[in-house]
Amino acid sequence: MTHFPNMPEPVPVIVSGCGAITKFFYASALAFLEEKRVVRVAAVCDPHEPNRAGIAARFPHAKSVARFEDVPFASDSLVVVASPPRLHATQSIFALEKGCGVLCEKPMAASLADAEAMADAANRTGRPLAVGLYRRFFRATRVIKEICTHGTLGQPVSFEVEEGGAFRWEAASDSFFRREATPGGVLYDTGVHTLDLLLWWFGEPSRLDYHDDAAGGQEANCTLELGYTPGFTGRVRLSRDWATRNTFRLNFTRGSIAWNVGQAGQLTLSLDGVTTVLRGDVLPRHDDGLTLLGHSAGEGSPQAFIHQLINLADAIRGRAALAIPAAEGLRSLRLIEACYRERRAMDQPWLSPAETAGLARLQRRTAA
Amino acid sequence: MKIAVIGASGFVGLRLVERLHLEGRAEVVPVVHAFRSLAVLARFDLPWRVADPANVAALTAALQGCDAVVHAALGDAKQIVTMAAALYPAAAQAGVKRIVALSSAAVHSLTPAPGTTDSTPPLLKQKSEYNTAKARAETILSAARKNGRVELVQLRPGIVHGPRSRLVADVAGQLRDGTAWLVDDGAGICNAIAVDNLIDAIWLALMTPEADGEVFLLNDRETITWRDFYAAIAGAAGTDLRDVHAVTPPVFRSSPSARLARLAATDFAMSLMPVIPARIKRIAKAAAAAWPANHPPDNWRLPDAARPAVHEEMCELQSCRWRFPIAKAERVLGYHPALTFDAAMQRTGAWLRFAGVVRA
Repeated sequence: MTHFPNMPEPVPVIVSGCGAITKFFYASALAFLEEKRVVRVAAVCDPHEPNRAGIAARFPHAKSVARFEDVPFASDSLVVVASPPRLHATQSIFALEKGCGVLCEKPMAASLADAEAMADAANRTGRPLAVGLYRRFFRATRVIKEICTHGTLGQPVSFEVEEGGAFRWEAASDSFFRREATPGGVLYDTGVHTLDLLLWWFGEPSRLDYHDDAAGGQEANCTLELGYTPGFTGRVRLSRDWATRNTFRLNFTRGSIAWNVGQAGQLTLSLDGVTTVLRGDVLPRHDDGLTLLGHSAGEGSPQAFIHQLINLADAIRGRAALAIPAAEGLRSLRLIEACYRERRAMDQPWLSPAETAGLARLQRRTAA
Repeated sequence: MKIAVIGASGFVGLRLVERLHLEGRAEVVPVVHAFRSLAVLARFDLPWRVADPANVAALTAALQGCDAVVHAALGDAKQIVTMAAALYPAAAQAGVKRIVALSSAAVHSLTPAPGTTDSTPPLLKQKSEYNTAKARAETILSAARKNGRVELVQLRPGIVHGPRSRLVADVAGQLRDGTAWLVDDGAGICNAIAVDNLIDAIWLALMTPEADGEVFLLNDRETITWRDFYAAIAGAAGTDLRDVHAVTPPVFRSSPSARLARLAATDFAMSLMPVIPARIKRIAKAAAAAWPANHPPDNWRLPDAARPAVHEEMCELQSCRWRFPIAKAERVLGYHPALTFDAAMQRTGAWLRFAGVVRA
């Protein structure tokens, strides 16, 4: 059962950025938490009037402003930074310096340097800065973390991750696809979540080999091979071009785990010596050590968004530690920047020789 | 030369953008209907434009400054017609000199009469709404050309295959899952055309002055049966045709709700709709939806092996007995398919492995 903090006053919330992530996720999570008196939306901000009006209509008591500078900041507010990534650092640092706690949507910033400046600001001001890596709130990903930490299935042997498919996100502008506004493609977008989970479960890799198909723009497909000092390896394939299996397959010395992306509360386990696989719900354990009565209904992405807002509201009031502080957000950005530094072109063997030559020319120009 | 590609995120449109841009043949302006459609195009730094291709004003703005436009947008039956109606006036107002519009060999139906050629008029009354719409779109554009100054070439490709072909990926998946099927052992004619051969034809249609006002049927060089087609995909996917189901086409019956929807979509019914009370419409819809389509499942059985999902359109396609001629395209455009079917399928196989549709 979810615990709703008994707040003397709801935490005031400021939403910066009223694009798709706010429309489809944060607005509903905030509306629910307003109902529970955990938060109260004080202001919504976006220069794009139609987007802002859509969110403001859901919170008629909130002030609606076009410019971030015009937001009426009160200390101890919770600021959701869901603006384009190039604005994350400026807005987050500004809000932290006003005494607010910040939940910054992923990717944490447009560059590692910006993200580090944000983390410095959080340290300097002592205010909480959380990063919207909501998959860490899934029951399934938490169980995998426990299995990795405790060696329940033995030592890691290898992993294979395939994630993505035809791009369906209702982007509100083309800034998402322009390099000057958003510095990367599928790795920078979906890959932030993918790499964050791998870093959380397995730690930092000791080597990487990265390929993508960008040719003057953003990558739509990429592959990443990772090596770890204990001697295991993993392979990641991301796409916003064509359907993948959307599966994490993790192999350990005593069994394997398969997790379908987005299934917040389900896992498939393969155990050594067992000829069938076990597929089922991940449930809280009851006092008798088993769960016979519980059910997993209602545990998905929406609940993860609600949990991360509750966690930050608790942190602002000094009642809980941040589940995903800035230092965690830095890890995936650091790895992504390393990938882009080491970038090599993906082989696209269906292209004609003339196209392959043109592709190489464009890629050389981009690298320069 | 600056060429706009409407429907630049689709199977043919995307390949056209890739070819034009990577081969440096022309300055290409991708036109898509939604921001999300930029996801794969954004690999390139291109001056894309986002516009509703059924809106004349929006499309006119998107085509500004372009010398020619290729229309490769996909849509449902209604959109196909409305896009065709918007295309010509928008191109004219934007000052475009030539339109190359992708029609389809399906304007002659999926089972064309023997003797069908480029000069055979499109069939404006077909069972398939999509095919009817493609035929209507061609007619709309041809009529517009008669009264306008923008040059027009319409292309009627057959079964387009190649990298990012949904049909090829689906068949590869069916072959992998043991659900692939063929009618009449695959003896029907598959009027296949490799997407790269189609791109070559589009280029010729853009560049050949004599092509103005003409329509062209387009195929690969070889005569390919459906068995050949499936065998080539199986080869590309590293499998074979041993587990392919032999199918006798059943008698297809539409569900009551599908029949009602088809009836409601006719011009006559649309004209009556405003005078039918909403309550009557709701009752009719509910009754059609509630009509039992199948018997309830019986639990007292063991699970079946994978079974093919046989659908009417593919049954008809596989029953085709006529190979569309490409003599006119050869004569007027100078179209000589550069890529053999086998070479094209090798490229497709490379893409199937790249995309993870089949394992390397």
